[in-house]
This record gives sequence, structure tokens and C-alpha cells, in this order.
Amino acid sequence: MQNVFIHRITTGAVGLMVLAGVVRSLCAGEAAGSTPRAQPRLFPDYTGVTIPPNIAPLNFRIEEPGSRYRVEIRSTREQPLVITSGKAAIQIPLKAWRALLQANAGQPLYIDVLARGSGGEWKRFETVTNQIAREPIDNHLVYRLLKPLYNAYVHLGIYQRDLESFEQRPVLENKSFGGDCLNCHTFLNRNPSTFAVNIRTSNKLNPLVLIESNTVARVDKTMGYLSWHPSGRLIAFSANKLSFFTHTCEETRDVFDAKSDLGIYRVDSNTVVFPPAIGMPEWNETWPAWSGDGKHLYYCRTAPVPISKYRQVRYDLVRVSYDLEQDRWGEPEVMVSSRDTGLSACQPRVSPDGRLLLFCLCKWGNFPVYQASSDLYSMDLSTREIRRLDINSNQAESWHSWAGNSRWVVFSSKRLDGLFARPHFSYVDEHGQFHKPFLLPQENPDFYDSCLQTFNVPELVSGPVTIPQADLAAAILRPRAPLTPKIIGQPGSQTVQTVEGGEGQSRYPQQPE
Amino acid sequence: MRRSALAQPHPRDPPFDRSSVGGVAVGFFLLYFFYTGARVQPVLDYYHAWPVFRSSPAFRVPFLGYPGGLVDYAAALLGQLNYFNWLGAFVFTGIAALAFLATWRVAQGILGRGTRWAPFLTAFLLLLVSERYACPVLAIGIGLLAALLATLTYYESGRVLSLPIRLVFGFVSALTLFYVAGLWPLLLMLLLCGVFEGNKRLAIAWVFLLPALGAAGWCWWSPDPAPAALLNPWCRGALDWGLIGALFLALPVECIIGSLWRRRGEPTVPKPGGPRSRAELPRRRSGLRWAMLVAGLLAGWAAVWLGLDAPRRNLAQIDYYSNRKEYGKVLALAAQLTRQQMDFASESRLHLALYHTGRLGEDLFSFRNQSGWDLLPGLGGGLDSCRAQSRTLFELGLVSEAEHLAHEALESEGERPELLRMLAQVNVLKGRPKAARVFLNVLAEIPFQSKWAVETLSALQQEPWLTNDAEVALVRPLMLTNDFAHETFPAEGMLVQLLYCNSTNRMAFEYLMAEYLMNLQVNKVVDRLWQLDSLQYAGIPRHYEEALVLYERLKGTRVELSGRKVRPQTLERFQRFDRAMEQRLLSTEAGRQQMAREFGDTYWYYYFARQGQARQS
Repeated sequence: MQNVFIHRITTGAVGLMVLAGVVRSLCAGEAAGSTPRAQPRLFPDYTGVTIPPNIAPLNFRIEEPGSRYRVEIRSTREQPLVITSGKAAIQIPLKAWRALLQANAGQPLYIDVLARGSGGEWKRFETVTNQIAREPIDNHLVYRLLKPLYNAYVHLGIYQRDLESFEQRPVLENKSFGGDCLNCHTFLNRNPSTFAVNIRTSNKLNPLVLIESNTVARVDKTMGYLSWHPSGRLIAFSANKLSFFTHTCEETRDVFDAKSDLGIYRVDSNTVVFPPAIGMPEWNETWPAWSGDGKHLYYCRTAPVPISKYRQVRYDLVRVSYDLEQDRWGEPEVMVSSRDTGLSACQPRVSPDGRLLLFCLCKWGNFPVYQASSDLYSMDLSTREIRRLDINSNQAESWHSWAGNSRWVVFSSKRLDGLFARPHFSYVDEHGQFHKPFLLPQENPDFYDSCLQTFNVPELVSGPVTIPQADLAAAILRPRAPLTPKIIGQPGSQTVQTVEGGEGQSRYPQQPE
Repeated sequence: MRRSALAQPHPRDPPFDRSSVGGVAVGFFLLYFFYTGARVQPVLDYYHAWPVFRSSPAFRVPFLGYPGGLVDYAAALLGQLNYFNWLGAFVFTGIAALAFLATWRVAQGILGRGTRWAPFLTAFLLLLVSERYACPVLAIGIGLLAALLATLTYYESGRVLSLPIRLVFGFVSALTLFYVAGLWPLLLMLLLCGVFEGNKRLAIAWVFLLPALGAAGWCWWSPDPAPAALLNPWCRGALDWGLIGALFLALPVECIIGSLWRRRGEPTVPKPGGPRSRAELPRRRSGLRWAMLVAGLLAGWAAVWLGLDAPRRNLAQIDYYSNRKEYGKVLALAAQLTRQQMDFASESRLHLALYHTGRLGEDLFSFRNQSGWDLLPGLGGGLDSCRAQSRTLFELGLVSEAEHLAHEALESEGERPELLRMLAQVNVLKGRPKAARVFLNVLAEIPFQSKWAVETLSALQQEPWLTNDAEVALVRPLMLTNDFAHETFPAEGMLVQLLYCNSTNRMAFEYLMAEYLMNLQVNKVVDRLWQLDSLQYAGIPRHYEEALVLYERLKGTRVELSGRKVRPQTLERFQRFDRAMEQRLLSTEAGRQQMAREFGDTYWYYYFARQGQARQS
């Protein structure tokens, strides 16, 4: 009996406190509503941005003084979300956020922020207006996490982040296969079950791990930057002779490519070819990227120079047509000339709808993440008009990737601090305009404040990578039947001859010619 | 009333005098504590090699993902207390004392009597492991303790649980222990439970022993790196592993031998009317045991005294005192190392200490124990030297190089406070205050390091150039203002650039002169002597004098020094050296030794010895 009495008293007291809180909040809202101040400072800067309707909650920190904060997030439909917190870090409930965004795709998203001062008065800030796009973004992001500046690696991993929540899971960590290096994960049409990863091992065997429909194989051939042909039958790759070097001023690291060529790995026949059209001896070719329809291969090229002239290295952006059925290459065509721009082009990526070409231009060289001057540019492929995008900062922008619907772009930017690259998303509207980018949201808004890792090669994919890490590691360490491609021709050669290689055995039925 | 699962005292064993052994143990651990604090010095590990710890929840996550992670986390946390040497010694002694008690109780559970050997042996072995400075001894100690406690829990469960339920409980405990503490504690628990059950029914012993063998075999033969890592989670040296193996096997071995001994049957009773009375025998046996215990303890302490890895401790001390800027002690310690014991990191700290004590030009070649003879080897000096080199580079003004090597060390050694502090300063100097904040935020999460971090964060808020930071203010005018891109590390070129950018960079001058001297470029030393005036040196540092008189002798010329004079004792000593060279003393071993005794601290000796080596190679 006594227990029941105490329970009732407790319930009543809690109820009164809640009621008092609500009344006080309402009063505060009314009191402050009449004199809104300037927009609140939020970190990350989630003001004036366009966001996907399926993005995880944009948790943020209010960088305004206050002893208590009240945030109301609303749109045209659904109940507003009201969060009251004694801390400046605002964490938005996932379910309510999802419901709000899904009900309001295509509508504005308003954020009202109030902060209580030391005297108890509530200060209301100007409403932050964001926009919820109609078009969703591919729901997973795959990136490599590593520290920003070293040669000898210890902890490396490729991770996937569910963009609709905060879950991050490893795809492949180097500790699972003996601590060697891994890089350049490349997906076929953003399909999470078909992708390739380069492995660099201490025993000089630098294989490619090939995952097709979650079946993994090790291809014993060293490849550099990769791009899948949309058909899934070819992978264009670069063969580079890269060396790191160091500057004494400004950006510490830099990369020099002494010799590079492009090659094609024919997945269907397990052969490697070096077509003369993309492997000319007078050029260093790199950064291959297929167009969405597979009819063009975009890449960058420059004339070889010694490392002492590294500041003079400028890459042109070139494309070459390709007929898959006939296996016929066209003539290279310069799309962006370094002579015209005075800058070096890198990392071309064509939107899946074939409308826009996104690439980096920087002062020199071919490794834009180490160039503070690196900015993103777009080319309208129908008019060949080039634009420097407004989404750039005064720090390096690089490693961009398109969403499957061509409406979203993710890229790594060092804009926050000049050292650590963080993934930013930008909406691309129907007019080809890139909207103000926003930072990948994290559950803890303070996450980036003490994150010593840099986000490298963020790639959007349409779902989670489901192949177990153990399978990938097993394929690297003890493959049942490693594939040794038959190599036809050699890099930079005009003649075609078999120079080395294994059986050239195919695991796949031959495609009809 | 249920019978205790613990074994009953054996009739042959005399009753154990707990109070007197307890007294011995208290005395033992008092000595243990003072030995640890005074000789092992846990604070050395804190600076040299202790696991990184951060208070943020995100830091905990990786530890939850592998067997033994929780013990590693606990060890990393407790290891932070090593920041205060005596507190660290207290923590370590506490763990050893708990392991001592647990060993005692486990042995009592199996053998029906307390054991005097295994607990002391366990404590000695832990101390021996700690003074090797090669293994995470707290993680090992906590893992051992966890295994012993899990075993004791299993024994105690015998009081209330029937055999099948006890076995199920035992396996659940073992799996939990595996997750918490890793493979070695699991194997220890399975072994001890096997011996315990084997004392009653041999067949039940195999219920524990077979899984132990299976788990060990799986890790041994598995081609995957993860199980192999379970087998070897701590360190690599054979001796270190021998000690750890002995630590984990000491108790099981004693229990197995003790159990077998007991199985031999009832004790023989002296015949009546024999030469000694019944009361006399246990007294004599007890006296003998005490004598053996005292002898064992003396032997144990002797082993501990001799087992200290003095060279490794010296290296750790050099790191520690260099960190504290006590350069005189660094020099004293470096002088005690042999050429084989010296590493690139310590050489780098030695050079820095020589510079800061004003002796780089005076005594560089007195330290003949240097093996690398390379002032700034860059990555060629190995990852272990990156942290030490980054300090030197930072002070020289080579901020980008310091940043690079600090990042290499950050990757290989983890988020050590010294590195985080310097990287924050580097980023301030490079005009990236927001990046500096990231390093400071991490530093603020490390126990006992947050004060400086928070103060600096606050200072950065006020003023992004951090002009009030003494180190930053010192380095800023020394920084290179022109870009000097390079693949390998061209020490000479970089030092020349530093002097080109700021001719008052005294450290760059001394390092450049040392670089010339080491590379036998006496002509360049002589060419640079004019800078002694602009840098306001009172005299000519000894090694420069030695290079100068050697140059004059080799070239047969006189160098005009605009008023400066070589000290008479240098000239007189060189004449003696010259005469010795004319006698071709360096061509015989006896002559070389004589030369080393007389001229071993001179540049001349280095010059000709190095030249001889070059000729031979």
C-alpha cells in the first residue's frame, strides 16, 4: 500500500515537472519569438544546405553561448521535432527524423534554435532553412580510413557507412590479412557485391582482389587506379611508377608519377591488354574512368618529365571512344587542355546519366588530395562548357564520386582544417547546379574534433557490402586458385605481343563477339 | 552438509604457519614495491612504450572487438598511473600481490595445502618480465590474475554445484575469460581446472585438457593472422617469451607434480623406537622448509637483480630524460651504452643533448659508441627513431619534416602525448590552427595531459598564432621560407637552406658542422668557420679546431681566422697524434687500441678510422 502511494506521488511529481518544463519552454519561445537574432553558428555547418530524404540525422553542435538549448526542427508536414538539451551537442532521434524527412521530400526543412543565457533569458536565433531533396542518395558510403601523412602503415581499413544511420562496419581491414596495404576500392555501377581492391604486400605480390556477385578471386597482377566498364567485362587500370616526396613549405606531401600507362583487364577472359590508343609511349596516362554508357574512357595524360621539374607537370583531360562489341578504340580527344587552363587535371568522373564530367584542377601533378589548390570543376558534356564549382574551398577537394541518380556527389575535402580530408555531399539539381555541400553527419557532433583519420576515396554504393571480411582475407592469404592473367602487349608499346603471364584461363563463359 | 570441493589437507603435510609466511610476504612485497619504484621505474615505460589511452568512448570500441581486449584496455588505463613513478610501482606491486594470493589459494584448492614456491615464483617472474622493458607487463599480470580468479571461482562452485552443472559453469567461465583476457589466461584456467578435477577423477581432467590442447593447436596451426596473434599477443624476444611461459606454467607444473606426489600414497610413519621421536620429525621438516624458502627468496632476488635489462633501461631513460629536457643525464646514460646497444633514436637524442649542453662541437666524437653516425637519417633510421628525430627537426625549424616523421611515429607508436603536442605546434606554425585543435582535443582525452591541452586550446581561441607558446615562438623565425622538395632526406642541403633563410640559426649551424665532420668534409668545415663570428662564438669548438689543424696538415696551408686562434693544447695534442700516425700505429690492433686510449675522443681518430673503414669496404 505504501509503495503504491509513493509511486503515485513520484508519478505526479514527474508529471508536474514535465508540465512546468513545457510551459517554461512555451513561454521562452514566446518571449524570444519577437526578436530573432542572426543565424546560429552550427557545427557542422548545416545551414542553407540541400539534403537527401534518406540521410541520417544531421546532429550538430550549437556554437553559441548558453546554459540550455532548445531546437525545433520542422517542415510543412508531420509534427516538429523538439529537442531540449543542457549541452550544445544536439542529437536528433533517428526514427522521428526519418519520418519527418520522408514525409517532406522536396520541402524546406527549418531549424529554430534558442539558447538560454546566464540570466535565464532565452535568445532566439534566425531560422535556419535547409531543403530536403526529392531524390535519395545511395544508401552506403565506402571509404578508406587512414592517418593523413605517413609512408609506413600499421592500421588501414576500408569501411562502409550506412548513410541512413550511423553504423560503420569494416569491409576489409589490413589486420585481417597480415597488416599489408590496401587501396583503390572500385565498384561496378555502385553495386556492393561487385568490386575490386588493390593489395600491396610485403612479399612484392601486389594482387587485385576481385569480387563478383560476392564471389571473390585473387588476380595476381599489379594494378593502379581502377575503373570498371559498366558492362562488368573490363576493368581499365593504370600502371604507375609513383614516388612520394616532401615539401618544406605548405603541403608536406606530394606524389610524382615518373611513368604511367593505361591497360585493360578483361575480366571475362582473364587477360590484360595494353591498347596502343591509351598507352602511348610519349604520354604518361593515368586516372582511367569509364563513362556511364561505357562508350568513352576518360583519363589524364602528360608528357613525361624528370622529377626535378615536378612543378611543370600538368595533365590534360582526355577521352577516347571505345566499342565494346568490336573491341575497337578511337582516337584520343583532349577535353581539358592544361595549356588552356594552366592547371593540371585529375580524377575525371562522369555522371551516370552522362551529362556532367566532374574533375579536379590543381597547380601541378596528379595527386590532388595533397594539393591545397585542388578544386572541383564540371564540364557539361553537351556544350563542353567548364565551370569552377562554387562548392570549392581554399583547401584540397578531391576523390569525388557520383550517386546512381546523378543527383548527389560526395567528395573528400580538407576545408575543415587543411589537414584531414572529410566526406562532403553536394546536391546537383536538374540545371547542373551544385548546392552548398554538407559534412557526413555523425552520431556525436564532436566526432571530427578529435578524429585523427582522413577519409580517403569515398564511394557511394547502392547497398551494404555483404561479403564477409574473412572471405576477402582468405582470398588474399590462401586463394584456392589465384588468377594469373595472360598479358598481351606491354605498357607504352605500339606493338601487340604476349610478353608474360600465366594461363589466361577464364572462370567465365566467353562473351559472344 | 556438503563436502567442500577444495582438496583436504594431506596428512603428510605439516600444518602451515600462515602468520609467519604472511609476515614474510608483507616484507617481500614492501621490498618488491621499493625495487619496482627505484630500479624498474614504471615512469620510464610511460614515456618510452606505454600503451596509449584515451578517455573517450570511441577509444573503447576497438578493445571490445577481440579476445583479450578488455584486459588490454584495463592495462592501458592502469598504465597511465605510471606517469607518477611510485604510483605506478604501487599498482604493479598490487597486481603482483593479488596474483601471489590467488596463486596461493589455487594451489591450496588443488593440493590441499598452501604452497610456498609458486606464489613467490609468480611474483618474481612478473618482476623479471617488467624489467625486460619489452612486454606490456600490466596486461600480462591482469590476464594472469583474471585466470586465477576464474579458476578459484570454479573451485568454489564445487561447494554448491553438482559435477555436470559445475562443468557447464566452468566452460561458460572459460569462454568469458577468453573474451576478456585472451588465449593464455584461458589455457591457464583450463589446465588448472583439469588438474583440479584430475585429482578426483582422472577422466574428468581431459574434459578441460583436451579443449586447452585444441585451442592452442588451432592457434598454432591456423594460417589466419588473427589466431596466430592470439598465440603471441605481447612481445617477440625468445627470453621474454620464456619468462612469460614460465609465469603461466609455474603454478600448473607445481600442481601437477604435487598431485602426482600425493598419489604415491599415504606417508610412511617412522617405526616406533626409531632414532627420532614423532614430534621431532615435523619440526625438523618445517625448519628445512623455512631454510629452503629463505634460500629460494635469496635466489629469486638475485635473479631479479641480475635479470634487469640494463641497456634497454638505459634507452628508456634516455627517452625519458630527453623528454624532460634533462640533457646532462642523457649524456651520462648514453656514455654507458655499447655500440651494439645504441640505436638511431638514442643517437638522435644524444645529438640533441650535446647541442643543448653546448657540446656538439666539443664532444660529438667522444661518444665512440655511436653506430649510425648519421645526424638525420630520416626514415632510413627506422620507425623507432622517427619520434626522436621529429623533435630535432622541429627545433631546427624543419617543420614539415618534423610533421612527416611525427606522423610516421603516430602511426607506428600510437597517440603518444609528446607527438600530439608537437603536431599541434607544427600545425600552428603551418597556419592550420584548426588542425592543431584536433591534436589538442585528442591530447585532452589522455589522463594527466589535459591541462596543457586545454590551456593551449583556450589560447588558440584567443590567438591562432600561439605567440605566447615559448617553443612555437622559438621555432617560428627558424622555419624555412622557401620550398625545398626532396625524396630522400638530404640533411646537408636542408641545413644549408635553414642557414640561408636564417643565418642566426645556431642549431642549424652546429648540426651542419657536425654533418660535415661526420662525412669527413673538413674543407667544408673550414669554409664555414667564418660563421663563428656572426653567431658570436667565444672560441672555436674543439672538433672544429681539430678539423682545422687536420685540414692545414693535409693541405699544407694556413687558414686565416680573422683573430681567432686554435688552442695550444689542441696543437700540442695534434703533434702527438701526427707522430703516432707516422709510426703507423693504426695499422695494428695494439696500435689502434693505444690510439683509441689516447686520441679516441678526437675528430682525428674518427677521421682516420672512418677512412680506413671506407677503404676496407
